[in-house]
Amino acid sequence: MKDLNTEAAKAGTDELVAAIANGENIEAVVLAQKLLDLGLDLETMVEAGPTKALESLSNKCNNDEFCLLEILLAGRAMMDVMEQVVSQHAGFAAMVEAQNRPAFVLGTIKGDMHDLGKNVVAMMLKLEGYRVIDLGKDVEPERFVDAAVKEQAGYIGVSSLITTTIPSVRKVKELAAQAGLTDVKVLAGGAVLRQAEPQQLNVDFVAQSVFHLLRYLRGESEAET
Amino acid sequence: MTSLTRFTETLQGSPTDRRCCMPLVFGYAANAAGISLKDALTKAEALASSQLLAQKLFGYDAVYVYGGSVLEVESLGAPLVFPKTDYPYLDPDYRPGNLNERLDQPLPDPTRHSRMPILLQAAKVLRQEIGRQVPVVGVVTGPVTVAAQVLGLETMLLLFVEQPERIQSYLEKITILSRNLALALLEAGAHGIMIMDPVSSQSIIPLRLFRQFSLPWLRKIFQSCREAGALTCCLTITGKVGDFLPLFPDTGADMVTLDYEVAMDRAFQQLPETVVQGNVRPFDFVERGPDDIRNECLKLLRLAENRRGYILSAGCELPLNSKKVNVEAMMSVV
Repeated sequence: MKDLNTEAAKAGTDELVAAIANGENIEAVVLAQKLLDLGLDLETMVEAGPTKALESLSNKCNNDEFCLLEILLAGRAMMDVMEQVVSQHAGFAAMVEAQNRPAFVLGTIKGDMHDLGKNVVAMMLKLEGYRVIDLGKDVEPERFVDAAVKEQAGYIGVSSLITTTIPSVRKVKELAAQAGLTDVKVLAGGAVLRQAEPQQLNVDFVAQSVFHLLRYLRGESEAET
Repeated sequence: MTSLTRFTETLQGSPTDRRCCMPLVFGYAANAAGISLKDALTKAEALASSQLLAQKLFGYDAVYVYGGSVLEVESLGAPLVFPKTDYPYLDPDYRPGNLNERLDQPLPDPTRHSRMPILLQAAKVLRQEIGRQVPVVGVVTGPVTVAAQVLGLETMLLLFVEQPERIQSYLEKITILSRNLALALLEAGAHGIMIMDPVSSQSIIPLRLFRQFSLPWLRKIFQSCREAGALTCCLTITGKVGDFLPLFPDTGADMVTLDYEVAMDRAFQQLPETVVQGNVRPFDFVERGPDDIRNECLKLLRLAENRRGYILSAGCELPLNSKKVNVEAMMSVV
């Protein structure tokens, strides 16, 4: 069984999607491993399992039906599948190489100590195949740019929940330009920043949610190919 | 009408001379009054003075006694960092203890511990100075939000799913702290109590968990406040709460603050007996100009034209760096 053209594989991937969406991490790991043991190839399992589960969450988000707890639980289940099953597989390195995603520098801006939303974004980006450089919280604008230079990043993601941090957010793109990073996209998100327009923050994009961000990145990725 | 009469009449659904306007001016009062925010959060006189001066400057209809969102968690022993010009926050090196330790920990006394006595003194001063004309509102943090700060948000959310009985026991304990602080504020002079509970938002927990873990404890606090003679019990949950609206009256709140993400027409429909306040986008007080604020406020006033139980306000606390002209613009339309 190499693909989804068997009833067992279809039923198995449906079960996997449901387990991930319901946040049942232990069951999700067992189901994912079972599919590979049955002979399903790695890429197909990831596509029909974790990726499809991510899309179902994204659809919920579009309908305003999601909440952080559900994302957290589903994200944990996806992460467990990726770490305990997918990354252990012999075909993992080739799959990552084929995706060829750029590095993504991420952090909560100076003056803000909130990081749960940022952590959820980091988790989702990793599941999408990005190499995430998570700088943590209370991060100086300069550090975002230094990391982007060092890691040859394609994106810088800035998060904040506090209005007084906005001047620091505005500095990031300016500093990136000074460092010659004119192709690096600066993206913003978080409860306060998402109330703003990109030009108010001097960024390229303001994400309303993690799924809004993923849709933007997919659009960017398609535009490049 | 005085602000107090206007507010009381609004709560009763009676006509008023003009629309009540109560932007949540907490720490911003210090900035507007030229007082250091740190002083306003650590000294009773500075807190009371900043509220008095800002209310006098703008003429809105309430003063607030608020010590920052980490007041309660600080009283439970968590170390804070006090920046010069911003609210205090939990020390990044703070590591939450385990739940067992937390359950055994004795609760602080609002009249003696941490910064809570400062708030009680400020409530007393405000009541003496302005309490006959302007309502004094004491602000406490909701149990779910306090528990999220003590345990870490992610940990608490996972406990909801994995150990519901144990987290419920902890919430019961935190409820006693929030209730005791609320009652002490009322005793000191606050007319009413506002519970700020941002973690109980639909963006963070689903409806069934709100019903299970937030609602019972909010109800318990408000019930005690009512029995102690509170003029109002106001619930403020920032962010999305559209699906929770029908449950809000069950908390015992007679007034709710709604954020910009909630459709006010839906709220008016679903909360016919509850006073609703909101919901100008807080960020606009920082980034937009007075014309925009005036237009947003007028739009809300038109929407609430036939509704007495409506108070013009921002959807959440006014940001610390709000522009004065924008607060003036809000007041100019009422």
